[in-house]
Amino acid sequence: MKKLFAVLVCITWILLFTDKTEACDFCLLTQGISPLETIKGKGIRITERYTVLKSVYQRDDKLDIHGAKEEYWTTEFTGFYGITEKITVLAVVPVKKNIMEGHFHVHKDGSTGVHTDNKGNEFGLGDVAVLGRYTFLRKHSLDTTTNIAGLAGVKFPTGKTDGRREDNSSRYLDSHMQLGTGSTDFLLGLSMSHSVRRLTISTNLLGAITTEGEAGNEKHQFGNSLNYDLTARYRVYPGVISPSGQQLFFAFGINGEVRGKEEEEGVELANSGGHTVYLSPGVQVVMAPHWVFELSYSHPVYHKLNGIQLGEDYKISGGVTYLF
Amino acid sequence: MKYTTLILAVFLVIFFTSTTYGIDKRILDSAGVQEMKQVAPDFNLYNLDGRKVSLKEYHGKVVFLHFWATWCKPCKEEMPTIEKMYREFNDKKLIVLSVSIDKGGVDMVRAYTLEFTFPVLLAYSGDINDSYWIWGIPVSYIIDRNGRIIGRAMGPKNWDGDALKTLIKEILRD
Repeated sequence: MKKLFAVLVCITWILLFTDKTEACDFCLLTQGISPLETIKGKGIRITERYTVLKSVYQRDDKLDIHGAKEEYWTTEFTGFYGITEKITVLAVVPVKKNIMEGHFHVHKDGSTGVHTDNKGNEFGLGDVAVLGRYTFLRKHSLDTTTNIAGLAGVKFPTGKTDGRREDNSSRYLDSHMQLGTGSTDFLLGLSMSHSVRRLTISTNLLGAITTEGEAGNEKHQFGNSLNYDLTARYRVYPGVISPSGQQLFFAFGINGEVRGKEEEEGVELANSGGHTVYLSPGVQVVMAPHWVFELSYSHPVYHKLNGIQLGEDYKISGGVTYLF
Repeated sequence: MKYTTLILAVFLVIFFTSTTYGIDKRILDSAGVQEMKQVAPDFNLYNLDGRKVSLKEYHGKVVFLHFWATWCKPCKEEMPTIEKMYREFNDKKLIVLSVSIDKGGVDMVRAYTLEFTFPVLLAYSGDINDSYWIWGIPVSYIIDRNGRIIGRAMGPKNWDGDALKTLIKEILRD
């Protein structure tokens, strides 16, 4: 176990210090109470995620600057198919609606400004990803089960990158407001879960290694990212499971995202990237044998963002999974 | 350091994916049975005739240990297949123990199992670790001649089907 931990730490270290990132749409695949982490067979999952950014941070200080707001609605359609007991392939198709109401920016001299009349609204297909998961350890005892799986995938540049503001300037929207990144990126992850009777502890790492894409009419590269998660899930009901019965789980997790700095036309953007940590309570209902419902709320408890930038205020995620 | 970690990772992957415990893992997989390697905790329970039965009295024999309840619909669908397996392998040294985890009386369980001939035990008549059914019912365990659990089948299975028959034959031959 110590050796496996060393491998996890090593991968974390490599991803953290290769320093380029992107807001990761697919990271919730491996976070919190997602049933995709351990599920087998085939099915489809639809998730809706709402994220709000309206607070401005300088490193870990929340500044008294108001008027800018970004909202992200992401609907993800995920199809998964178990080729064998150990190998599952997943395809993720996101549909996004990104809304900007008021634009926050940092001038070259370091001063900040908020233009409340700057607005933007983009809706459409995001970047599609295809992933494969290989479970290389599944160990059972009477009252414990341990799973360790690796995840690898590719995200394709299927989302638009030329969305414009709705104001008179008609300038291109910022890179993170675009539906896609314009880049082909590579995803790599590890997940481990250990269940003891009614309690399951799961931990996940998902890294994204980016390539150069575009935003508007400029070359743009998001930084690499690492999403991590540690979640405890407890089966509240029932005491004894029947395959046709219902189950209720409560979950509580700590998770976060580390993003590297972005580059625009080869120049590093000082006010980009950083680290955000969330606490995420959630609830999951399993209506066997076909349905899984889950709802979770993520509240950021720690921001350490590079330079000055908008930080997340909260996000809410709900999902429905149907197993064929 | 990086290479050492990589080599360790490869070693661990090979180790965890290739280790088998007596029975070919492919046979377990194709039968939908989870591989296990654990001594089966002993128990002392009463059967429907009031006779005390302990697991350790079957040491040296292959035991099929099955947990179910009268309120579990999938359990009822599975039981006729267990009956067929019992009739086929009973004289080939396969011990079938079917344990009801109902908290109700013996009469209810007896009425429910009238059509079956395999032995039925009552979980709440004695001392048994509920870890056996903590993940749900129906659940079945295959215990080898050394008293070691080598497989667990979760959910209803067709014990009269080819894959599970092959597995049982393999274990009895082992």
